[in-house]
Amino acid sequence: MSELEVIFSVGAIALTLTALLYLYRVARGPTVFDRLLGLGGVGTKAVVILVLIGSVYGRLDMFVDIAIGYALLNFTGTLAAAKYFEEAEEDEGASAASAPGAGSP
Amino acid sequence: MIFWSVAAVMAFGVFLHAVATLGVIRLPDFYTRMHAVGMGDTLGIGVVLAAVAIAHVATADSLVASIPIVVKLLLIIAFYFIANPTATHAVARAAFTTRGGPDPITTEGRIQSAGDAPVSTRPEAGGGGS
Repeated sequence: MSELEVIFSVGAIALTLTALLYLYRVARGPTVFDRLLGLGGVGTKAVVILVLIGSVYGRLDMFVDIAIGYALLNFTGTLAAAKYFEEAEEDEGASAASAPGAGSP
Repeated sequence: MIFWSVAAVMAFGVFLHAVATLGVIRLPDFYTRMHAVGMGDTLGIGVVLAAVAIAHVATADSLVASIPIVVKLLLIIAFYFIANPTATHAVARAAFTTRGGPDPITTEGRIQSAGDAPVSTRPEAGGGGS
């Protein structure tokens, strides 16, 4: 393992720890938007970790394509979920307690 | 030389991610948490991928052979610099339409003795529905 691979391994481990800390916000978050934000952050870190893992494995040409696809899917998913929770609340009107936007464990 | 350059850029990127994570965990309100994600993650992903690109260019057999991967990495960086603020804005807009303005916990600690009027923590009716 070359010394550059050591850097990327340490960075990937550190970013994995931060992604785990994001999961605290996903599990705990008072509103559904906190969870949505945490999931978007986890997806962002997953893209970076994918590129770092590809660099460690020496197959960066393959992993960078996977990272591009994951970035596109992550963005689309966050946008769609945001629009869904926004319109779900508007359709419910006054009964906000039963809407998915007001979900609380 | 290359080792320390990549290590320095990488450490800065991990630091930015750590700051964003600290903000997401510790900040009191949804909008303040979103500020941490929108700033820290966007620059953090750019800096970390820049470190990977520098290492790839430095260790490639020839400069021409490393161009496709570097272009793809720059593509990811450019995409995230556009997409991350867009997604953050969409989530913020959804939250503002659904829940209204900032939580009182972020405004009740405001210094009121300076002579300014008490701050309304909720937007006016209809202010969120654009």
